[in-house]
Amino acid sequence: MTDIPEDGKEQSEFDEVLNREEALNPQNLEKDSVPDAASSEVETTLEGKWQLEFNGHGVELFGILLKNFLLNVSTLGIYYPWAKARQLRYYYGASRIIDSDFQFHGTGIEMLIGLGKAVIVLVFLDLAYEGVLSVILNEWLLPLTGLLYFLIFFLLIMVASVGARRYRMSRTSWRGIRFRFLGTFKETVILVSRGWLLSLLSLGFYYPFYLSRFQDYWTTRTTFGNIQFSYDGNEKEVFSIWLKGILLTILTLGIYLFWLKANLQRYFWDHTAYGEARINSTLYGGKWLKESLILFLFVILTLGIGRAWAVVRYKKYYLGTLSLEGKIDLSQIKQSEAEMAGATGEGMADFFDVEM
Amino acid sequence: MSKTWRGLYFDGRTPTHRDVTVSSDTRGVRIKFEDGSGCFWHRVDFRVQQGLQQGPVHLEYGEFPSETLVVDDPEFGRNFGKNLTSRNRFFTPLLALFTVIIFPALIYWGIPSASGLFARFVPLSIEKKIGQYVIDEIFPNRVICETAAGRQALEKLLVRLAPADSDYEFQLEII
Repeated sequence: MTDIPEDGKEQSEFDEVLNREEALNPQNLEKDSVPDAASSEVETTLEGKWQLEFNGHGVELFGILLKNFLLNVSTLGIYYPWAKARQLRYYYGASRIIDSDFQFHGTGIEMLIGLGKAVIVLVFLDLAYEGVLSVILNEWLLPLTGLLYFLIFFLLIMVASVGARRYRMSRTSWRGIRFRFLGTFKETVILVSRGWLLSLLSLGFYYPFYLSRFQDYWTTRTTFGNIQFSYDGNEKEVFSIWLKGILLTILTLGIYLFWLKANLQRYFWDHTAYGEARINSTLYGGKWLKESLILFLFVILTLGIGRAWAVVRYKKYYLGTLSLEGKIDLSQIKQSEAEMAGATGEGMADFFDVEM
Repeated sequence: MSKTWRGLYFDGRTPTHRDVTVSSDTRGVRIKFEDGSGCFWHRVDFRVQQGLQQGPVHLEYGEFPSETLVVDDPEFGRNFGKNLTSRNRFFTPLLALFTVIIFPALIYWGIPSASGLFARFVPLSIEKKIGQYVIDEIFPNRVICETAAGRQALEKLLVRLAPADSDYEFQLEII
């Protein structure tokens, strides 16, 4: 398994601090005794193939969505962050692998603060553009400010993407161990701007290379505990999937797009690993299209009332296409120092509809 | 003797678990490990972290990295709820009452009354400016009937419609 190199020293320091704190914590004196993991026999190595499952129920989710809706309306939207936190807690809690479910630890109050900060930034930028720049600048300079506006918009989307992922990962746990996203805003901006620019200059032919590099970055900067996920996809293979997909999409007047997206996602998942365990995906275009259509039509035909059941069905399908196979040495996985990212990026992601 | 449940204990440092036996009372939760040792979590020291209503109950003890206790049996959740629930039992009925009765009342009577009250403190000149702004925004390129006969007819109509002792200045235009 690959330890995070730059954090190796920090990790051992963190463990030492934990041990010291535990020994000094007066609350622990009240506790009788908790045997150390090493002192009693515990499961340490898991080997096999495990399916990711979604165990949500339409009725339960309906109750949550209804309560969220009523409280959102009655508080004129102020309840939104709490509603989102509750919904995410449900989705994560219902997702399970190796007999253990995921947990989402984010709270409404931190999401409210994040949303507030995002609103302040966006209002300030809008006022600066609408109220100041467009008034004081001559008409011929306005296109330039438009370009500036676009650049700022692009940067904000990057802030939203990186910030939201950092926040989500730092608040997600499995068996008490947190995930983390180590990607930075600067690296992401460089990667994305270069990718889009080269894609534009190469008339789109660079795009699959960019996709592969982005996937590599996004995956390898994600950790569970002290161990990073790895990605071993090949840019040329991504290019051939993409080229075939684009040609067939043109020939089928766009219908093949679902298969193209499914093939790319399957490829990315199949080339993602955690230690000695590899992710397998069975996501195929036809079935994915069918499930997406069912989700869409069910929501439309029931005027939104059936959304809970449709979402549960879709999530059962989508998560059911993923599995983990190989060996996991649990004793090697250690809690990493949590970098409790703020929720500003999450708040901005709401504005720009950035899907996590 | 109080009822016990089987559960999993995670120490918050590694993902390995230990099988435990759990019992609860009004003060908190007692955890017993297989080797005979145990600990007691006071109610105030842990949080309930539960995604699914009918799924496993997660209890988290302490700050990050917190210890976690997971009990799969839904009955523990129910018993646990009875013993240790911190939420007021009137919360849900009150919420329902608020949503069904107080919220519509607030929309139909509360907000209009509040705006009526608030409007009394807004100076007439500001109201005029707001009115003019709204008209200009909605009908920016309006063509108004300006013929003498037309204006005369409109003024007649306005006298009948507008109260004589009003502080407001009314205008009637055909666009």
